[in-house]
Amino acid sequence: MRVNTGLTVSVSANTERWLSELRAGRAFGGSAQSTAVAANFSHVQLFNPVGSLITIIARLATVSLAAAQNVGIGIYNTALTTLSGNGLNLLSGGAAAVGEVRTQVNGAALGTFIYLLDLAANDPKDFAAEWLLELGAGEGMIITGGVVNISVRGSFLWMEV
Amino acid sequence: MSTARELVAARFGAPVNPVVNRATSSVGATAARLFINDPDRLGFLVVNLSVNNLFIGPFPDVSATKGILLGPNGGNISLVWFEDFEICAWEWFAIGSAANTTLLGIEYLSGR
Repeated sequence: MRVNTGLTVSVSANTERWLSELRAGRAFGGSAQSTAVAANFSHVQLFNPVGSLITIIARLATVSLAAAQNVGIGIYNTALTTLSGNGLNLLSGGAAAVGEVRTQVNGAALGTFIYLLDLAANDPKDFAAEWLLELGAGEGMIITGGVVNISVRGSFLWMEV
Repeated sequence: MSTARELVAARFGAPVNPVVNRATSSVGATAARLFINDPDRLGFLVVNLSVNNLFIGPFPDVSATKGILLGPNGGNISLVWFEDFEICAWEWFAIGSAANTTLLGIEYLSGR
């Protein structure tokens, strides 16, 4: 008796998933700068708009600071005030992202941090596990300068599924 | 030059004739006969052509928890008498996980 069930096992392969999503036009990138303002913390956010029909799975966040300082990367589920832009499709010519990159300066630091790290000035760092985090509608990921009056630049890569 | 039929007859002592879907070409979610009892059946091949699961077995109460699973879109099984003995000739039954579970059933019948 020779049996071939014909059933296949799905094996997760992150690189291939990213490649396939990218080639399907569902991978995006975006960045913004939140400039230094006296007595204010600078923030850059990747935000999945309220009521959207997609889920964002973040792949990478890159951050740099204008001066040596610590930086927090975490969750903040309220849209920051200034829309810098929707993500650019990594499949050149593809539709823009639903996900938004936003900025805001605020007298108090915003967000609950997952990462809190010290960075050198103008020394960009990538934050990427295999996959970073998932954002449902109305949820956001934020980069927050560790002190007031410091310029923060943030870039993100993500897919929308 | 010998034909395949002649070579089979020479090796096994009798001509063997393949017959396709003699009893049925699909089953539903209720157990149904796949092959009749036939002592001339020396072996068979079953392929699940459907998108459903197919379960088969040489007993009438074949089910999703009692049977040999052939997965969707190509799961298959083959039996031959010199490996699987008399069970090849028994009456076989099948059930699908949904209606219209299509299949290919080829029986190898001797002496015909």
